[in-house]
Amino acid sequence: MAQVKIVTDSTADLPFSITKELDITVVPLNVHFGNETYRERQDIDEDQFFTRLAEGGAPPHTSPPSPEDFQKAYARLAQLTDSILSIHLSSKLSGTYAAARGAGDALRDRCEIVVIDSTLTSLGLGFIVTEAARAAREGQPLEAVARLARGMVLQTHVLFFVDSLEYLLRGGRIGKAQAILGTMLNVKPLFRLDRGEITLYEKVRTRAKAMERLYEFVADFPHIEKIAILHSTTPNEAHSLARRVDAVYPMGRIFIGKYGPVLGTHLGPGAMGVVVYEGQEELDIRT
Amino acid sequence: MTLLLLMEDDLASERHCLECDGRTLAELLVASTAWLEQHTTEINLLNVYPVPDGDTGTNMCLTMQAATAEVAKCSDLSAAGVAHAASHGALMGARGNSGVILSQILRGFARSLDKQATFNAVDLARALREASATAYKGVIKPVEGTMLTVIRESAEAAIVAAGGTDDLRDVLERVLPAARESVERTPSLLPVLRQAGVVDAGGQGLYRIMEGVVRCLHGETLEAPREAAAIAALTPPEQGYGYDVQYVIQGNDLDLETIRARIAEMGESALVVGDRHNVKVHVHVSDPGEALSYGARQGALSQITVEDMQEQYRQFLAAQALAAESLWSGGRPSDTSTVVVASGEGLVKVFESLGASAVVPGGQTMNPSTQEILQAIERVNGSRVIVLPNNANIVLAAQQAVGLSKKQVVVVSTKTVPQGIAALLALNAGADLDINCQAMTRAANAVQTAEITTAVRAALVNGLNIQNGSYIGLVNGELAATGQDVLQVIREALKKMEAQEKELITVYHGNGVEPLQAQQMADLIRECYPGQAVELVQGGQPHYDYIISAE
Repeated sequence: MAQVKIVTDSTADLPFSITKELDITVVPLNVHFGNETYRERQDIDEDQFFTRLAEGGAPPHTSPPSPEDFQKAYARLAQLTDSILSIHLSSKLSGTYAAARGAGDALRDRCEIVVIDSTLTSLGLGFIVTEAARAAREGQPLEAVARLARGMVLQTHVLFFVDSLEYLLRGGRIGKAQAILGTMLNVKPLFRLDRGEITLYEKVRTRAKAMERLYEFVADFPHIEKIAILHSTTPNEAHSLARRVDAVYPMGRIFIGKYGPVLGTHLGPGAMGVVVYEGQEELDIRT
Repeated sequence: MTLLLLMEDDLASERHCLECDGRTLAELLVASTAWLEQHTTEINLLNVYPVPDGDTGTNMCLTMQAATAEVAKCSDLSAAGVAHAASHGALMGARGNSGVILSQILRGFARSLDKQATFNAVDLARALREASATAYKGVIKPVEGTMLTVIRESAEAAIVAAGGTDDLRDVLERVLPAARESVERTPSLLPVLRQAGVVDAGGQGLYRIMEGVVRCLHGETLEAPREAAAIAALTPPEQGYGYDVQYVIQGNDLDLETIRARIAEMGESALVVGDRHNVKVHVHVSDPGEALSYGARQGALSQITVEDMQEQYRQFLAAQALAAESLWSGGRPSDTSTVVVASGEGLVKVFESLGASAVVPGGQTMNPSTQEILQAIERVNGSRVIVLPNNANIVLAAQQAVGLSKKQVVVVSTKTVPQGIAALLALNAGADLDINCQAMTRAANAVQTAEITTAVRAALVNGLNIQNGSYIGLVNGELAATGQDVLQVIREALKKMEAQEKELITVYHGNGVEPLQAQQMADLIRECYPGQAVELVQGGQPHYDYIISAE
């Protein structure tokens, strides 16, 4: 039986070196500036994107891959394997999962394709995808890899804040009721991803306090397997948070990354967040 | 000598007064309210700090007016019936801490009379004792040297007096000097009064009420003065005033007296308070258009509400029915709503942008009544409500409203606007009331507040020599700085707040400060505190040029 092939989308924010090493197929979402369309991380990388964003002009918007994009990816992989696991960002935030489902119908007789809604995005999705890819490389069957991925969903936690609500509002990714929140006071709202949706976690008045909350969030976990720190335009802050986190988790193992163009469109500059994968705590059963 | 005593006895027997019925009690209440009104300014001036707030006289007066208005509507003319009506009216109309304590005094008095048609000297003494006990219970941490001491010592004097005479007038005539002495002793019990060189304002108000009673018993006709400080006379209730109109006029040189007189002509229950810059109008009229267009000619109108009182009543009934229904069906309570007290267009917007469900107009100089807070609690969606009074003098009225609502209500005792803002930020609409209450209290306590205003009179407080008209800075409610230069006062206040150790300084500038001027002030503060973020927000609050928080 051939090795399971792993597919994800570009919002997993995985660097090319990792996707290449683990043989992960990445289907890109699109970013549009006016009439120009860019495939995320293929036609435009995060640095180019945020530079372009800072130049002003009409705000960008995003679109999911088409079912055809997935069909092509699956068809190519179906020549190498008979089982594909396709893991994607939250179906509550994007049409990507919907596009992936059903895209493999034409291949049904020669290849089994399982599509998973991770209810996460960015490195939250990225962690699941890399672990799944490692399990696939070890030769685990589709069913086992899918179980592993689904199990990781509930153990992966995301907290982030935005510098301005403007971008989340424009993208309609949070409800209007939360929209008016704190507009008079420059509040930095912290959000979690909860069952696939962006939900308000806390409102603080300064970036320093928001960063402190990210640290506290991480420090509260009794056991941590992986941590990622994401930012859109503030690498120095991300590194200083990593130094802070070093007390509870070795800094050398923290993944520090940048939100890609698609998430950047919805979060805007100055956003920052953490992803924690708890993993399985090794229980001491001796009494 | 013997002859003189005999003559006094003869005089006394002439006006022997063994029982008091409801009609007489009603008269006494009206007279004492009028007498209190005549002394409103005197009581207002007894503020410990020379700041434009407190207004104990105004608050007590409005509370007594609410009591007598209820009595006027009351059909049960037994002594107990009148006392219960007064108690209910005062409870709903209570404004400020003094008003709340006064309402508790009336409540205890009424409860003691139970269902009696009349009361005698012993009943009176007992009722005063119950009034005192109820007032003490109504306050979480009773402080001596306040109204509480005055009602307690008055009741003690009444008990002694009732042991020696069965004449109500005699009892009251012995209570009155005891009350006066009690008031005079308040500075020896409360250091802040001693420092400020004043007697307790609430105690003095209570004394004036009792004095009004005694004067009425002497046959004096007591009327509300035309010039009563900042309060319009209550006109007798009439039919046809179907709309409740409220608004605030902002202007440069408003003529309070003229506005009050004109508004009072338009309808009933007229309340016109304020100063040259801000006047709050509240009146029941048959034609809201007339009241609004008159106000608009005087200055800029804000916080306008026009309510159909019949409709309000229908809604109230409907809401109660709904509440009862959800109790029966075991309906799951929805998210937590919030009621906040604030004045100033900018501050109201800040609270609204943070998701406040209702903003009750009021603050330092305009303390909302228990009823106004209660109405807001009933009006907002949801069965769980958190109230943020944002002022030390509104906390008790808010707490009183809690007991009157069928909803699950808690007061997070925020004493300043920045505390309220911090508390509201900490609200988690999905969490339960206790957890929110704890988180919000913690957030409020983490904020330091400075309030900058101008002194309304000269004073020597906390070792600070304050000149009339000079700037004063309160830090967390305590007088901390004074001077002619506002920047200097702000700098001293910030130092006392240990702003150096904080992250964020927020400056809310009042309606007396031009935006450009406020911008310059914020820049100057930034220069002094380069390590802190300094945010400037247009608060638009009256009287207080700057409210500053450090957190």
